[in-house]
Amino acid sequence: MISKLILLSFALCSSLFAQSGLEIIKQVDKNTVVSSLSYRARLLISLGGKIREKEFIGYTRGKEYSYMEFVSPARDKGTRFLKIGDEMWMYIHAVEKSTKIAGHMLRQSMMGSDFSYDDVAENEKLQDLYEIEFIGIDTINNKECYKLELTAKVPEVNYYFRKTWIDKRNYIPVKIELYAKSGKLMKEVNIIEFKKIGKKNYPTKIIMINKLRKDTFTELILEDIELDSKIPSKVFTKAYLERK
Amino acid sequence: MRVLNLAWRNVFRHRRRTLITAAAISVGLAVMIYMDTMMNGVDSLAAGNIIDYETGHLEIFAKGYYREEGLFPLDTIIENPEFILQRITKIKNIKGVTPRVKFQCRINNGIDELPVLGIGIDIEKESKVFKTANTVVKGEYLKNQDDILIGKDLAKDMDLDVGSFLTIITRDRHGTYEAYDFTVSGLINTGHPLLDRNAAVMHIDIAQRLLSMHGITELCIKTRDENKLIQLKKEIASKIGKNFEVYTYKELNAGIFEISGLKRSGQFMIALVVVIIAAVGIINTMLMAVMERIPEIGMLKAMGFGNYNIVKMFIYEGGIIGIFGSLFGCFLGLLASFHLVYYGIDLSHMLENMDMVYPVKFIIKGEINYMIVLGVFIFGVVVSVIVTLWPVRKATKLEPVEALRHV
Repeated sequence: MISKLILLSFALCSSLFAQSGLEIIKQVDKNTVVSSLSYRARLLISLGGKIREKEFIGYTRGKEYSYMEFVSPARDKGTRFLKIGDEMWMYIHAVEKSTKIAGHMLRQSMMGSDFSYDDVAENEKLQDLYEIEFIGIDTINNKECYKLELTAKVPEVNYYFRKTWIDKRNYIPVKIELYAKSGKLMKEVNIIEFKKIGKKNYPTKIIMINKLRKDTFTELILEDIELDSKIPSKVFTKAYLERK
Repeated sequence: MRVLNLAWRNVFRHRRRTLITAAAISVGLAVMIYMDTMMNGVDSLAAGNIIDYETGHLEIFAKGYYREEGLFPLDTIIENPEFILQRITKIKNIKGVTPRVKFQCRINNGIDELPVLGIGIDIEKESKVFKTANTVVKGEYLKNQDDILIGKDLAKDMDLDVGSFLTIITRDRHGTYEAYDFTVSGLINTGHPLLDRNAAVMHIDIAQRLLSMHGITELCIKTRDENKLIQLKKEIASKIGKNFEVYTYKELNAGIFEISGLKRSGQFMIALVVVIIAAVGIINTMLMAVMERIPEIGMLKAMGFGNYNIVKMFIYEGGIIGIFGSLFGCFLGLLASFHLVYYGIDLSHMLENMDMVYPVKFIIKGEINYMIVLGVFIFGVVVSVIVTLWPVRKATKLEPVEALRHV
């Protein structure tokens, strides 16, 4: 009788936790998934102790549309990216020509950073992609966090498995570990700073550590963020990408 | 016959001059033959490398897979290779069939990352088509599940050796990241830059697991009789139906064989310039012969030697020089070519650090095409005869009396 009770309480607990895991992710998605976003970003790419800085401006609308344009350094100035759905184009000013970035190239690093093209363009609700499991409470950087494990429930995800630590107070992920299907840790994301914009807490300083390479990480700092603002549709066209 | 005799004697009146003129032709033709031998050698080495390591003689893909070189889509693959294997198993001209999975990935040694081509092979069937197994220069062939073979050059670039660990990073067919740790079991040295520098070879089932798929990207076929390749292609195509496509190794590497054509015409142009220079030499010699023998020609004409015979005489002279020059040229060219055939040129040092599009490395050995040698010989003689025509025109225009008075 007692063992049955214990069993029942375990079952109850785990279902409660599962529920709360999903609830937590819903809160996170509320913060990080936006209907539209415009920003100015700085990329600090650190490779073997050397740091290179790049700056770009970007616009995102929903999960379908995203546009980026590099403004510095001079070498990369005028390099633009447009992503519509699963397709992406790159325009290099010096060449005055746009080329389509095929699917396999999307996985490659963006401008030498530890972000891949679709890491940057990612704006999808985690609850739609992953099965969420609540693991427990953990302390990261002196912050009390919910620890969750996310396993892909649809085949079309970038990372099959994620571990994420979410700050209890503001539902911002503090640390995310991204795993390959084999279970190998590929990248670690640390969200260092966030800003309260309207009702949302939006991450503004993110460090992406490439776990497969020694001493490489990239810092992404977002400035001048505007959330849910109206971005003209013409931005997400090839004509705008190829403008002189 | 009398004219020929006369021409023969005329030619050998100035041995040294004749010799130098003929030598000019010889050198031109020898260069032509040597270049042809070298190009044949390079081509067959390239073709051999492609056949032995990259594609086999023929490859079968799912329809729409092969759109352009260097693209390895995973959305159009052969889901059920057994279906094809059953249908082509009875074709006599097929020596071997092996499946491969090719995919784009990145090789990572913990510090650096390089994009390479992942190749999943079926180690049992592989040897029926490819020679990969015989090219392991260090370590051993694939054995354990997480073994990987890489080229000697790639190992050097990535600072890897037998027993080193590396990670292959790719995306499965749905786009999900996959990273998998391998141990380098052996280094291969095939002579094909694709395999030696830009590829990682692993078990096919591991490749399939990395890509979350059960099918394969291609079936590679080796034929018994290469001369009947086109027929074999048609036969296979008719058996496997419209959902699949067959290509010959030449079609798959059209770019490379196109470069080869361009190189050939380029080298032909160089040789042509050499021959033109030689031809100018002949013109010079014949012009000199005409100028120097003006009184003689006047005499011949005065004695009833017609223009027809004068022309014939000079053409014979040009022809004789041409024949000797060409014969000697062919001899020289063949001699040099034989050296190339039996010893070859070692390019390995020269090309070590070069990224070649052309699939050859190491020692280039020549291949003599005797039809070309014959063609070059005839070309030499014809050119010699044709260029004599202009000096001869001068001789025919001479008035016997004027000519006799000429000093």
